[in-house]
Amino acid sequence: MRQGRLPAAGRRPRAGAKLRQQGSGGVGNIISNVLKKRNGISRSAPRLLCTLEPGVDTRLKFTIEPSLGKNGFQQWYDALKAVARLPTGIPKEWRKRVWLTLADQYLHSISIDWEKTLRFAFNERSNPDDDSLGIQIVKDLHRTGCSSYCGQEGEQDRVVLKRVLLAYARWNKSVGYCQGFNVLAALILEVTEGHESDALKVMIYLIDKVLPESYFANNLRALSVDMAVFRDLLRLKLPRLSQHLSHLQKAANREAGGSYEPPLTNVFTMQWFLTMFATCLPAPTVLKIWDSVFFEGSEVLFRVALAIWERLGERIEYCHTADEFYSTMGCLTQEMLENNLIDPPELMQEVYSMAVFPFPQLAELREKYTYNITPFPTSVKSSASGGLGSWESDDDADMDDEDSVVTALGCLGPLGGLLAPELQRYQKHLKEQGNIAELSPGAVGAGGGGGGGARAEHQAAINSMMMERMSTDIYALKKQYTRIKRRQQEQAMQLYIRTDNVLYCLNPINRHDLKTKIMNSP
Amino acid sequence: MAGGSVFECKEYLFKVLVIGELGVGKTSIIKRYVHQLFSQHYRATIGVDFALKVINWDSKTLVRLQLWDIAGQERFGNMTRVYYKEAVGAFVVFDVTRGSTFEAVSKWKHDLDSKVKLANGNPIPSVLLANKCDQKKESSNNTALMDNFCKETGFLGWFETSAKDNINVDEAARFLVENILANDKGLPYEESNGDRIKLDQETVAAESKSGCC
Repeated sequence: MRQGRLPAAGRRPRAGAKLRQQGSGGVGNIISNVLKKRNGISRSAPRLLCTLEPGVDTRLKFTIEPSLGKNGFQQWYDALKAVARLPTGIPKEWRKRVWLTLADQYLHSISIDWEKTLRFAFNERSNPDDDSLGIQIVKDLHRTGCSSYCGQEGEQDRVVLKRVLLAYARWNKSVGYCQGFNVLAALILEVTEGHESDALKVMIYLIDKVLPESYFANNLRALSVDMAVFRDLLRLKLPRLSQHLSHLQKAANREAGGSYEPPLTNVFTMQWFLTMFATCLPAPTVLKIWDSVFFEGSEVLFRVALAIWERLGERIEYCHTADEFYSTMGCLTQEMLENNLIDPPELMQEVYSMAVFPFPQLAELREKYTYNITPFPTSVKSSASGGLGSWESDDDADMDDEDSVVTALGCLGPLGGLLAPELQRYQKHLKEQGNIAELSPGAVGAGGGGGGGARAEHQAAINSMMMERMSTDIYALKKQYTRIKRRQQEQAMQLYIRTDNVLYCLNPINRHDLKTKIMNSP
Repeated sequence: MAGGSVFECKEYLFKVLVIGELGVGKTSIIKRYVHQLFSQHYRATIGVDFALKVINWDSKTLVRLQLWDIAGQERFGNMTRVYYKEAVGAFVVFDVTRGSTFEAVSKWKHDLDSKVKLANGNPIPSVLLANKCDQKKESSNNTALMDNFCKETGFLGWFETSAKDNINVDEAARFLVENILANDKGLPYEESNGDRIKLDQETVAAESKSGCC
């Protein structure tokens, strides 16, 4: 039944071979081919399926004039997005091509000279930063959780993995190498059949475009926002489990004499989101999730995590302590990875059906936790003990002081450029001072303990200037955000309609009809 | 639960951190200690991981050891700092084949002491692990130097370990737990004084300076 829906899957050697030929040409070639291909595909989803029917000459359809331009890509995108939503998802034979088309489009949109980038990224000569980067990367090469990178037989695979990781780090210096990239790149390489530059392309698209900025850099700021957001979503969607978990957390706090136990889901959200589930689910399932992330965006991570917790809920409700919970989760993680504890089609179906796109309240929650950081901590800690390590707050959306400035810089997004020089100057100033708390408006008001008048005045001036700029900019940002959101909703509506059409067309009962219709059409 | 048929058993729950540079073998040490195995096929720790070891310390004492495996990469520091809270002991691990990881030990120790303290304000007991000793090239005798380093940096002591060949892992853990127990027992009675109780001669040898940081 499921197989019947997409008869073309698995029997399409020609297109694959063709793609490889294209790959051997120059960039210009590749781009024009990709554009042609896109336009060919973009006609409509049924048309796409038709082109992949065995026996049908794919060449014709993939080399249609690039007359549709930008719109063509959008149509292709929508069609493939619809395919990804089907129970079978994107057939694995298409995956490499689909991912590369997405990545190419992104690189094209940012006007990258890819050949030049490749020469730089895969340069054999080492760059000044390579040493420290290289050590970290090398230490993680055999630790992808995938046995093909271990032992002597894994030598060649490790060399390739290292080149890709180093290439990405050279490409995006501000992110560099983050533990977990080895896991991501290993899986991407599997899809690109070991092709280094293709893998780099996909990695760039994934990290630079698809996932939130600062997921892997700036102290993983965006990830900690998402961890906090996820706890809220869990509370909304799985209130019983969420309550049970916070009960265990509080009990652990009491047991340890009023001490602090971090939210129990954090350990897992962190691992799951950073590796996009590659560390907890079998590869075929993970790839389906990634397809979905590529088309629907990072909100899919929340959906998958919610679906997983829902499935684990029953076993977790038997846990009576935080300890027991962590131990049980250790077993469950292993089971999920090895024993297909989670049925992929079922999981994906739930991912799509649990809520409309975009996920209700997600944008607001993300905004809330992103902007909720007071860039200038107003509370002055009277206890001078240690200074560096005093615990500010239990919530991971609160960060230590210096970070909040880095974050403030990051979270300004498109308007960040306006403020950047000032913030940088400010930050430099902070570094000299050592501790931002001294600089907070509260601290200034509280009187310059050891600072001296001139310094305090200087600080106050900077502070008021910054506060003013910040509030104006955030207001502008909010306005822009509302606009973007409205546009997104409109698009979502359109897609909804289109998706409905495609689903109708792909229904097995109608397939025959559809096929004849397409065959008969010019 | 895992204690079996122990009567009138006193149960302890201790949270222990395992920290150190990237790739020094923190996860391997934990896997060796908790699951008695070593494998190359494991995954680099992303963020933080958890393992539980239940020890039948003696006929009247059950110790549940929560081991928190903290990712070595610096950028995770902000995310993992919450897991330092309420830790009562720590292993700081370095790789004997990489000098840079030893140089980073002081940084990790300092970071540890700044993030967590015992109720009495003292640094939490910590033990230094010189891991991968099975790969050590020359068998130079650094004992005196290392002893001195531990004293200066505030470690209770140090062990040459190999998660691969199962050298000294249990011993190091036992040593740390002894000290944690000493602190724990010491607390109610010795609150005013704050000094550690010496449980056995090992502790005496490695007694670190207390008080200031």
